[in-house]
Amino acid sequence: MPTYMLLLKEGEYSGYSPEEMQKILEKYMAWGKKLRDEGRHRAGEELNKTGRVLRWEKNQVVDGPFTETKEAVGGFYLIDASDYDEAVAISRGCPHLEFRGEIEIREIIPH
Amino acid sequence: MFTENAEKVEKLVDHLFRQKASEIVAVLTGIFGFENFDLAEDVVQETLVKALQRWPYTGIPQNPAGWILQVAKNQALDILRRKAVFRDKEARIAQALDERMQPADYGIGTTFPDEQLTLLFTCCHPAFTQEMQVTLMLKTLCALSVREISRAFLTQESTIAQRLVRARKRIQEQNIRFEFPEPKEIAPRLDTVLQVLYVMFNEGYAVTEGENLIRGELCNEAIRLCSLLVQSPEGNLPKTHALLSLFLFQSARLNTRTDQDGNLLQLPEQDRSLWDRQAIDQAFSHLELSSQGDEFTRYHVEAGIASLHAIAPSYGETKWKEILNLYDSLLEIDASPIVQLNRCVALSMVEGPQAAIDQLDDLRRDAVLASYYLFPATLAELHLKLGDKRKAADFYRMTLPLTRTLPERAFIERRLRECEIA
Repeated sequence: MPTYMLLLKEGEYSGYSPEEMQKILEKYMAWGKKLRDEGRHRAGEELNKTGRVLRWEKNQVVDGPFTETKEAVGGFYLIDASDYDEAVAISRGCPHLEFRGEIEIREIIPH
Repeated sequence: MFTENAEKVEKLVDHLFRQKASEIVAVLTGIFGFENFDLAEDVVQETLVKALQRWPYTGIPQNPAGWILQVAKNQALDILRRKAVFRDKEARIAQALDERMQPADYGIGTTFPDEQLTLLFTCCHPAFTQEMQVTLMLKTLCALSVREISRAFLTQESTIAQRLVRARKRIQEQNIRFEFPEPKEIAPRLDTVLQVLYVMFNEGYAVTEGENLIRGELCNEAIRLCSLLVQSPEGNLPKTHALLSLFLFQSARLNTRTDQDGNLLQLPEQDRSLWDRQAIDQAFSHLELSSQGDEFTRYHVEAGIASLHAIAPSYGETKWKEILNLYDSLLEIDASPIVQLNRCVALSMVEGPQAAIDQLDDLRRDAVLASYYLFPATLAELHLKLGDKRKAADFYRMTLPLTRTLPERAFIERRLRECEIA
């Protein structure tokens, strides 16, 4: 079964009360649990907001990436799915979309 | 790395975020100053967002409360450096943060009671209007958002937001500080606290809609804060026990006030086997404690009335005469038209519907009752009991524009339909 990388870009959580945030968290946890229970979860990590960017033309290492907040990748998952349609269907269940976050789905080319 | 560690916490305790938010806001407000309670809220907000972003990947930490406190502490230190309002006070505040926020000791149970009590009393400062007091309490001490508060009071978000702005202004202008009232101020302030909790509970109790679950939370918060109060030396008085008893009796019935379709059920129709017996037992314990000493407040009377409903096996078998006597006592304390209305319900059960109708007719011109949907609704019920469906229908029609929520409206419409079936 192929593996897919899910890149989760910034969600929008401002304006939610503590109670609402707990409910949101519980949705995320439930989605993640389902992945594990189904044996699809290979990895999942949160990424530090600041990092480094290596730029080729000037061959420099600079602080960054200072991408626009909504493009910044906040975390990723590696999951097993039979095809893109299935990977998309699984991703649709992630609450990230509900909170205006974007999920980019890329298949890892098998070899 | 998230491992398949069986020791990891599977689920969060209900309302953990809100509970910890309210405690940490109390601690931080004490350290930052009452005029900076919004910064305290910002710290907590950022902390919970961090948890929201991290825990899906790491799993819930072994001690979620401790994690929240540690991160909140770091956030607080961070905000200390960033905000001009703290300039020159950084070192002192950093030290206070360090001393008071000890994550190792902090768990699900620890509640910073002193700070919460101080905030409870501070929110009830006489400089604030009662509306401000209730709103401040719900915002800071109950960790409800402006949106949640506005839904609870069936009002606009902007109304609540503006109220908070005015409250903040008053804090600045009158230099209202986060502190316990002076000894001679404690007694009147405590009375205000009890009144505000009473208002909070009543708002929560008025209707519990399916979507509007926030209202049930108001009842729970009122109970939580009243319990906190009754456990403190200043608040451990018979009248506090009376109020808590009243809350517990009422809350025992909350889950039976609507059926599974969300329709409103009144007292005669509620399934008493579903009443929360544990809450009722606790209510009786507090009722017992409230009877010590001489003070006899409206909370005592109302708790007494609630207790008679709680022990009655059915609406018909309720000790209505005793309830009527208690209402007579209540009228001596508070002769308000709403009390008179409620008394009339008891009167109708003792002397028949006509006696109650006659009393209520005298109240027709009252301004408060004119906008209260239960006034014409009660008259409708009474006429229905006498068999006069036409008059009942007239009164139900008068009730419709006064209803405030969908379940209330649906309830009255159902009754109206029943009357119109000849």
